[in-house]
Amino acid sequence: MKICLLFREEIKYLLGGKVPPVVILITLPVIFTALFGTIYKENVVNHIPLAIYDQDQTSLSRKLVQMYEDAERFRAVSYVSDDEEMEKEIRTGNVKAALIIPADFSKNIQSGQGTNILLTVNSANNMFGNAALSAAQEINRSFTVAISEKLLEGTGLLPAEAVSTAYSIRLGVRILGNPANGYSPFMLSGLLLNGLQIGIMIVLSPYLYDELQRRKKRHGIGEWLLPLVRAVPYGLFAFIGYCLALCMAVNIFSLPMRGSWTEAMLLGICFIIFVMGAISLFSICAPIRIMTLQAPMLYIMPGLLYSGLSWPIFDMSEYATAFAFLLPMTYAGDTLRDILLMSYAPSLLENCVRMVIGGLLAAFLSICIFWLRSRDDQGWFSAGTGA
Amino acid sequence: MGFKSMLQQEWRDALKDPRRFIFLFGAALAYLIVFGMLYLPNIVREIPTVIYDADQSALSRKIVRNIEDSDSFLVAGYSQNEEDMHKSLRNKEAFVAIEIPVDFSRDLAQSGSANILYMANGSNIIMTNVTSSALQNILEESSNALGAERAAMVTGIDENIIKKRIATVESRFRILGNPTQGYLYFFLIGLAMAAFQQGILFAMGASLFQEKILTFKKIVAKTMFYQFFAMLSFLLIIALIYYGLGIELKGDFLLLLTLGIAYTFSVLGLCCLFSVFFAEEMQLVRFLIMYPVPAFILSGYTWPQESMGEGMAFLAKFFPLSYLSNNVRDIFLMGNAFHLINDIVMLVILGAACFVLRLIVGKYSSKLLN
Repeated sequence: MKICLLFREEIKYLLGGKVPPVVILITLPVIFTALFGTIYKENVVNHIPLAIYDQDQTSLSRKLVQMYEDAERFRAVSYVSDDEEMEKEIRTGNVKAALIIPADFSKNIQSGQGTNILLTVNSANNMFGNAALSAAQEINRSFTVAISEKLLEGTGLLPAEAVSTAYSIRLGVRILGNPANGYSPFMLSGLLLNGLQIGIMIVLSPYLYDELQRRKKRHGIGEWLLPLVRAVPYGLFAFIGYCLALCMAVNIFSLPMRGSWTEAMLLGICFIIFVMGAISLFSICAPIRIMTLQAPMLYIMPGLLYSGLSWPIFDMSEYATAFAFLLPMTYAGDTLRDILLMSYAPSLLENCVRMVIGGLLAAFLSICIFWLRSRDDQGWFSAGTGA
Repeated sequence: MGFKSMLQQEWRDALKDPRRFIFLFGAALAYLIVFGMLYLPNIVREIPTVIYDADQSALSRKIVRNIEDSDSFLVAGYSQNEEDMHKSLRNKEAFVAIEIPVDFSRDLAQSGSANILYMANGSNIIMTNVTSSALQNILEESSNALGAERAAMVTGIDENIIKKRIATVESRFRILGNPTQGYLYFFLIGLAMAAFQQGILFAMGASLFQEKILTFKKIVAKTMFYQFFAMLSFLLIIALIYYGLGIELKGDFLLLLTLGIAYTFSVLGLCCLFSVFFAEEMQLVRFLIMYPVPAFILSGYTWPQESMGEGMAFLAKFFPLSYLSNNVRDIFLMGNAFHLINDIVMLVILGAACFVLRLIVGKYSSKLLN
């Protein structure tokens, strides 16, 4: 009965106020999913502005130019007539890449001497650099193979022989999970979880600290139980937010769900437990109320980039790996993406267990500290009067 | 109270509340350390790969050796069959699988061409990009050599002449700004700027909410105070990027400084404006915690604004970070920033607009908060 009373109290708090805390818990993961789903709608970086400097001006060079113009990855915005103009186009940011076809391009090819083409790329932003380079390699390869076939036929090879000589070892490519190499499947699920953990942090952070302030109000329930009981409604609403965000990601932003919704839900629950446990620890250790929000930032914010979602964990230094293992996103980020894209997350059970253990351990520590601070008559560990 | 007294009072308050200087100077420093640690390897390499060589010929073994020698791959195992290979991928023991089919050499000898299969876990596009392009380069060499050898036998023409006809167009690349395409150069500057922004917002936020009554004069005094210390922090960050991370400053330091001044002014204005909508610092901080991730993504620092769609690109114009992080990176790596003067002016306008709005909205703020 008293537990029910506590639940009701906590739910009343979460639903009350000008901006009920439950709104943040539920909507922040949804907002993050909507915002970043819209930002990454195009999925791949296309239409990279390109300058073309064709010094050859023959039908062959124009064929190559045509291939670049037809490629979705590029958008030819400028045709320059000298080096200076080309450098200016790059320097002023009008273009991100420039294709240079040398003079005697066609003559050198036809005489069998071979030639080269140069692509200059502004790669300060790796996105442009990677996209431009990979597309250029493909275009150049297709062009080279086509030209080589013709040249080899000229040596006396039959057309079929020429084709196989020009391109002997062919690469069959099969990209599992994300065949278009899209950015949305790559990052959206991680950003959804990031929004969820930030929402939990914003709402939950002061709760144990506030509980400490209220320690004179006894409910007749063991103090070890209080924080656990109070935390349950937060977890419940956070889970609702997670489910809504995931539904939105799958149904509106076309993120594939190749795995099981049950597994995704289980992962979400375990992730919420870990985040809540960790946040509780920060909450109870904070000297003043406002620090309950500010202190966990250095823990929560790096989570997305440390999770292995982009920079893989196997390529992290020892220190970075050690830090990553303390973060909830490390266990949930890649696992959720595997469930969505690969239909199977081999580390699901292991990561769920780790998250639950991590969360319970953190919760246990925070309760111990709570107990210590609530009995601290000397004021050794007492909370400050900050806002 | 004169400006001088206000500034002195602000100094005393800041000393009493050490959070302010800790955020202002410590936030970016902490991010540089934390993410410096993460991106120290700079480029992703040694991606766990499983190889299934069903052919077991001299040629297939040569290809396998080339793959083993490549920095991009770390051969985690050799599968005995396709099922094994798929299992390794499924269990994430490897992220890439390369299959050289049985009769690979025979097909090459008889028909002149054969296939090699590359399979990758495509959930991480960084790994897919690195390995697919590395494998293409490895195979191209072998392919050209084989084709030349075969054609030379058939036609009687010298192998080197045939090679030039096969690899007739060589691709060359000139990569500006970040030649190794390393993540340290790509990411770290932007992350430091994002943390710098948070430091200013938290510090100024704490100062604004300390006052029971906030007059225009006090706002100006606080802005001047935090503008000064934020600029010191900005200089410290630049110094750390230059000396600590060894990223050369190719552009003009004074332009960078001017950008920093305009940016801090803009962020301080934004903080003043935000603060008017909240009754206490705690509420402002809650809002500010939601702010950095969208601000960073919308800035176009990673995913370019040109690829965001018009609506999002327009929304991004209202975030000061959109005018800072790319420019700082460009000044460091490219030696200049496109549209820099335009962006500095935009920051000043944004900041001024925020201060004006703050004054207007501030008059009604008690009604707003009620």
